[in-house]
Amino acid sequence: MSEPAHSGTVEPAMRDALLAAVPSLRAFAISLTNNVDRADDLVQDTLLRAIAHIGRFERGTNLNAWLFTILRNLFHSEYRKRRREVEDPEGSYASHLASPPEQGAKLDLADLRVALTKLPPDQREALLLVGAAGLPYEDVAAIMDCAVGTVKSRVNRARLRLAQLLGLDGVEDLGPDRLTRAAIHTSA
Amino acid sequence: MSFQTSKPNGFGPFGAPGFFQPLPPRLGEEARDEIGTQLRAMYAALTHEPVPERLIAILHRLGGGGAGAEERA
Repeated sequence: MSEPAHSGTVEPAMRDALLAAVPSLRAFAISLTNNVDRADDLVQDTLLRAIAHIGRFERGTNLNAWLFTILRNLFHSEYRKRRREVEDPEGSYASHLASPPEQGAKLDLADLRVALTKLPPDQREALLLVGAAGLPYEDVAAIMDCAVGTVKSRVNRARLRLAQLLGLDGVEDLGPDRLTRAAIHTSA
Repeated sequence: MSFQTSKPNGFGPFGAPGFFQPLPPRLGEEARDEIGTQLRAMYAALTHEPVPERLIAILHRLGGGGAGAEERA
């Protein structure tokens, strides 16, 4: 059942809570899109949708998680529309990745932002929400509408892919055969 | 009374699918820490960027008056 759109004003406490969430929403949106203008449009649409459906928000629950969910859904709607477009038309950042950084070199934030855009969206979101925003796996699972184990798997794959893209050392071989690997994994 | 005796496709003798499948490679602790540190630094830097006026204006328009709004305006 859909909640009727909210057309009135938002009470000051809620308005202030929304304002306080904007920096985090922007950081998430910029990290997702690697484009500040698109990110700001995404945050604007998120705020408008949140205000329109403020009656759906359950007081006492995590407002940021609710807003991240809206932003993520909007991002995916936009992504579906634009998936044939090139994310970085000028190639300004992509050129950084033409050759990976020197092995073991410290990460550069610009390279990191570009590498993030190379990840599949579900892995990128999971890594950003867990590894950057510091949200608990349970909250991220709710935001991404999937199981906690799926979030963990996506985060692991995202880290591995990032390490490859950035030329970091450190991918571990867990053992000589499947049984050993399974035993190590089970006891970990 | 009937019992479901057949196991779903893909379940092995240990009851879980893929028990003996190879685990994905894992990232070493140092590389994982490095990525985590940089991700948090990137995110923190982004959260400290000034918020565009148009985003604040949306909330001010719809929110009416209030101490928080006046302080930020």
